[in-house]
Amino acid sequence: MENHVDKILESMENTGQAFYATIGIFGMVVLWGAYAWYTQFTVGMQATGLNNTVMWGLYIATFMFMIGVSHAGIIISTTIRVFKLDKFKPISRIAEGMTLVGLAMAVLSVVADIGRPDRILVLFFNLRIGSPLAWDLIILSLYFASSAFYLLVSMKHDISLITGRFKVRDGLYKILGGIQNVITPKDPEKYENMLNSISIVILPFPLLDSGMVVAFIFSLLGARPALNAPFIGAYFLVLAIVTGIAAIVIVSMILSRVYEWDEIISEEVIMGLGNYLRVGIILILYFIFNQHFTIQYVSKSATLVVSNMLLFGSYATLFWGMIIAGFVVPVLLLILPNRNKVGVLIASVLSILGLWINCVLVVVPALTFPNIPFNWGSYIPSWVEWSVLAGILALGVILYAVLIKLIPIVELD
Amino acid sequence: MKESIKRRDFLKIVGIGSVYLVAKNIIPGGAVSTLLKITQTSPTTNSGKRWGMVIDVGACIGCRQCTYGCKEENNIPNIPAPMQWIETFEMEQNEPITRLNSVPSNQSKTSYIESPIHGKWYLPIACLHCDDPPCVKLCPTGATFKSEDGIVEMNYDKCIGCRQCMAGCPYNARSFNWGKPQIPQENVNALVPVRPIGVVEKCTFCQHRVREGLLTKCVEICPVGARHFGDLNDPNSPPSKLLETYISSALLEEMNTKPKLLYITSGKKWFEEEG
Repeated sequence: MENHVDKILESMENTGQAFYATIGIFGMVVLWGAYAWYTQFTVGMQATGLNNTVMWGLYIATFMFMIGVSHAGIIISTTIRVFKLDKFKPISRIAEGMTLVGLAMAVLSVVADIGRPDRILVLFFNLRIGSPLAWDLIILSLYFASSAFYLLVSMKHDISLITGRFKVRDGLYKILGGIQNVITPKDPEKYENMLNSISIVILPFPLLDSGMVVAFIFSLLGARPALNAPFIGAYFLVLAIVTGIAAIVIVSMILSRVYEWDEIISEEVIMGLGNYLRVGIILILYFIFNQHFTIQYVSKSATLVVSNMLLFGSYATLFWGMIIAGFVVPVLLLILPNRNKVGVLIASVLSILGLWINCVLVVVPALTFPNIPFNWGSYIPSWVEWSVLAGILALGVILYAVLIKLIPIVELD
Repeated sequence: MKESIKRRDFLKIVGIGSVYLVAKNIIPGGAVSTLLKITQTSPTTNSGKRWGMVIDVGACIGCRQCTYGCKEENNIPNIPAPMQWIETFEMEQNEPITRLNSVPSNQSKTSYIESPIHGKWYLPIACLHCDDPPCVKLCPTGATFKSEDGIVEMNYDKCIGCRQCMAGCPYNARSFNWGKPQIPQENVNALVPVRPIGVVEKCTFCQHRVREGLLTKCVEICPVGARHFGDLNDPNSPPSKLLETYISSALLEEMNTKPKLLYITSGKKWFEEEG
């Protein structure tokens, strides 16, 4: 155990060339994304491939996806506390960090999508509580605040352990430690109770976010029959949780590789996540099958056209590619009798690509073929959209890399 | 013990403070009241009128004078891209209004060159000014709202460009300003604001005209008298009389949006009368 603590502190202490090189490379992507976003801001949304029929595209799909990534923290850290799954403890803070960074990326994706980001304050001062967007704003703010609060409280011992060990950063730890001493009780039992209570408060957030308010943005559009379905909430919830699991596998494996934490993040942990991933992907396939089976059997024209375009039409290559490579192959990899953690990693990478494509395929075709048949549209994302999204992703990587340097990303005690 | 009291106090202050901030920012903005009602009142709209329009698709010859007149009247730009509030679709003789076809025979039905063509009929669509407008329900800022006289209006200063209203409009009646709209200064109608970049716009029922006692531009300009505008609360207004006489239909009636732009066919289609 002592050895583990040393290894983790070493990762915070020794900032090598590789770290700066990573920051540099991703920093350039961020700059490129910022340039693309500036272009979009000056010439307007005509810089994107969006139009009056397909008015939402990659940005909104990525928002939906990033909310899924952000669920990693809840799935891992609060569930292990509430359901006492101690074997996942080493990755719990890795997951909490992903919650905060994932939410930041989700918010940036939405800001990239709105036509007047300069009027964001108008939204705050004129919020109509009847609008689904307002519910998202409120629930996601609470989600971010409670996750950050949990992280702050749960780091109490670790921060007191490392205070005084680093030179430049010590001021930050003194401030954090001071806040922690004020807001947490001294008695260890009461402290544990406090953490348990916050976990129970955070636990329903995936249901509220992906299962309700994020899904409501789409499922309350009566004008888009393919999205206006009651099962969308449950479907989005499963999509988001599976995204969170796949993302945590990828991030844990990268960290374990970079810092040689093979003993800390054991094979057992990754294999355990793989088991959940397998169940989740099978559930997704079940939802997709039921959706298309129902539409094809009833063959109501407004939804049939969307289903046909996905199964046989212009989106068929992407759709079947996603089904086979993104979902079926990962499931096969995850049921192999002699699978190992590299297999789980490959399955996670494939499925996370599939999940992102699925977010796009949920949003775009349903908008392309609206209720009034003469206004069909088409949508090809522009370089601006790809660049802005690459910039957002790169910014997320940088934020996470800095977070690893600032706080012990694996619990020390 | 002293420690824990301090902590409680701190949490209390944070808690009360945040509740106060949330309440201060949200509630006086009328959030709760706009949740309950979607209609906004103002002295100009409180006239007891309920504006509505009836289009006689049997008479419409698809000339699109309404589209062009509307563009001039309402400062609708051609730059950076041509925009129109009224779209007129060319329909096959045996096509009903709300045909939900899985494969439309002709997708670009607004780009026809010649009209009228024998055997075709024409369907003009603009904002239907629904009594139960999905766009207003979805708007996060109240930038689009229903006035007391029934007009679904836009406040361009409040629009943040999220396009939720466009996604929720069953009739594709809304357009987004994908770039900065540019209109030659000499062509600008001073009564209508030129829209800023990045906001949504749509037909206003010529609110600047009808509230002054004039007809909408499209009604005034229609060469065959296919369009009729007036107060639906007044039984003697032209649309009320037509709705009493003829069988009318609303576009996508099953959406339950209760549109105030309704369609009738007064007798035969234009080409049958001719032939």
